[in-house]
Amino acid sequence: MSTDPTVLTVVVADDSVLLREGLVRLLAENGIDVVDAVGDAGRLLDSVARHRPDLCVVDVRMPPSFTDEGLRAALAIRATWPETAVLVLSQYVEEHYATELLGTRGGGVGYLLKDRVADVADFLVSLRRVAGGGTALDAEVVSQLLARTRHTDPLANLTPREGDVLAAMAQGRSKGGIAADLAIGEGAVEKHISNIFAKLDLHPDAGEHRRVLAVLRFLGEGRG
Amino acid sequence: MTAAASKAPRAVAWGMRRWVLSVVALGHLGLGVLSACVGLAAPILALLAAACRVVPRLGASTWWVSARVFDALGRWESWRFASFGGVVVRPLAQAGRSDLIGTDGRTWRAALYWVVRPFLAALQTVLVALVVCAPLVVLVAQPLAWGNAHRRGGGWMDSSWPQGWIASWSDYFGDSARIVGGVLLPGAVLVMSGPVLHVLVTLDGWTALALLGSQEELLADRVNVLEGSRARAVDAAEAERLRIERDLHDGAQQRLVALTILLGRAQAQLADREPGVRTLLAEAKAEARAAVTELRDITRGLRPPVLVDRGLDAALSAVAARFPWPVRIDIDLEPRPSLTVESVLYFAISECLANVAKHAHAGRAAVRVCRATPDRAPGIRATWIVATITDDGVGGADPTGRAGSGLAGLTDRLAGVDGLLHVSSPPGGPTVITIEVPDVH
Repeated sequence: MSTDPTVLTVVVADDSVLLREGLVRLLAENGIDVVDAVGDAGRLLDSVARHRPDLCVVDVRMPPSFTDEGLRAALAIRATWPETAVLVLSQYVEEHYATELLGTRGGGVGYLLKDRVADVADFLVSLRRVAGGGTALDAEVVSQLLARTRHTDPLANLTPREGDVLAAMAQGRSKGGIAADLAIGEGAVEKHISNIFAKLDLHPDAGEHRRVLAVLRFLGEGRG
Repeated sequence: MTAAASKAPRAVAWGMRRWVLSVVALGHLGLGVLSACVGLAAPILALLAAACRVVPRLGASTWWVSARVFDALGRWESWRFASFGGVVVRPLAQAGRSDLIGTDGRTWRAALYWVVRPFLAALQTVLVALVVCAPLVVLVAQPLAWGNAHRRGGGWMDSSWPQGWIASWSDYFGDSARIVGGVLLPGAVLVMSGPVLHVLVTLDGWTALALLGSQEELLADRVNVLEGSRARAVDAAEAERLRIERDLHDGAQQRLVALTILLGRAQAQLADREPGVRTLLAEAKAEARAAVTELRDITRGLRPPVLVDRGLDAALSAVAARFPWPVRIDIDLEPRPSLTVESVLYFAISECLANVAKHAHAGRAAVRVCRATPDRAPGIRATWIVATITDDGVGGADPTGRAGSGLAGLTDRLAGVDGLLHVSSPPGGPTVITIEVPDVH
């Protein structure tokens, strides 16, 4: 991981000292520069204003009200400092929170269950993708979003397999990763993806970004 | 012949009963006079004590003592009417000064009772004296006095005294005027005293019911108290769920997640060395994550945070996502109901959907929640929240829960907030479960 030429700067916000320290060490061990670690949303915003990090890793529930401070801080960061990406970690993933996060300017947001951090390699890949302007969504939140929108939107036309592929795309997986996950060939994945693009009315000139658009369009329609 | 023979014991029994009733009535009235005296004396004594500075803190203490005395008197009257008067009267208050000086007019009615009570007691005393005591005096004391005055022979200890008395009484009762005036008239009055006593006791009961309050009021009070305590119990249970969820979230869950991260770091640091240890670490991590997932499911069942943050729609969307078939969630609840109502609805709807998954073999389900006024609302003046859970499954759901559907437990939990559960589930389906909860708290 430390082969990355530019060192990522990260601010960690979690009210649990245990988790915060664990995260800080894990990131430091993997060549990421943790510039600050804070315990509540107010100090997170101060810290981001001062350090302008590449990425914030934010817990949803923080003092004082222990509800969704972290999420609101994440939205504020995305609105105020678009160059700072936000990776939200939580004990629970909720599609409402996900749609709120994805409703910000596209890219640079992630939303994962906290225990995904334990799969260090996967977590770092997601983290770097988010820092690089990509998205990383937890498999669970994607399935929630799929369930919510299954009956109301153009995605209803997708076959279950295409739905699986789109879910994997929403998590930010690569073509090869999707093929491995679903135990199908890369060619088949390619075919599914082009079917999805066709059904979602996404034109080829959008390029690689089309994959993000597919996910975002679908997630956007899931809102409300 | 036989008729006369059977009538005689019945007449005797009837007579006995009248006498017993009269004695009970006399007891009731006598004790009533006693309570009237105490009721009259208590405030006077309290005021005197206050005036003479016997009680150091003048106003409050006087009031407090009087309130206690009248509280005790209220209980006493309640007991008296229940034991002798045959009516149930609400005691003035149960406990606590705030109850004693209630602002609902009941205190003033009770005060009026204790003003009326001495007059009533005086009237009762006069009438009892006229219809019971006077005839008794005439019947018993007069012959004794007459016999004493006109006895032939010596004094009380004279050896011939019984004969002397008897001889004097035969003279006394030999006079027809004395028979009429001293025996028949008072006897007739005494016999007629039964109905009079009955009227007095009834009047007493009416006064008490009108001014102290009836059994209906007692029950109404009880219902109010129980409704209040039940609402508090339900709210306390909800608060407790929230507390447990927070404790788990901030405690065990965080620690377990931290543990999985530690294990992950250990794994990463080992890189490709020690494959045996790596496998063990991977297994340990998998176990820890399973524990995290289980805890998450438990806390979700308790009270999911998103329910508190974002309401029923968001929380149910997350529930719906866990089912392999589509669940349409259609929720129209603005403004949000109380957390207790939201929590009960969340639990009930989740349970219904879980039942659909377990028993219905459904292909799809739909949940609709909105405010409405149901047809069967049992006298609770509030807007109701109606939730309808529909599925296209095989039907045959058993609302009594005998088939292990868990619907019985649901009925109980709904009952805690006056909620209702209605199940329509013909064999072959579709199943429609309607949940109605008053929008209160």
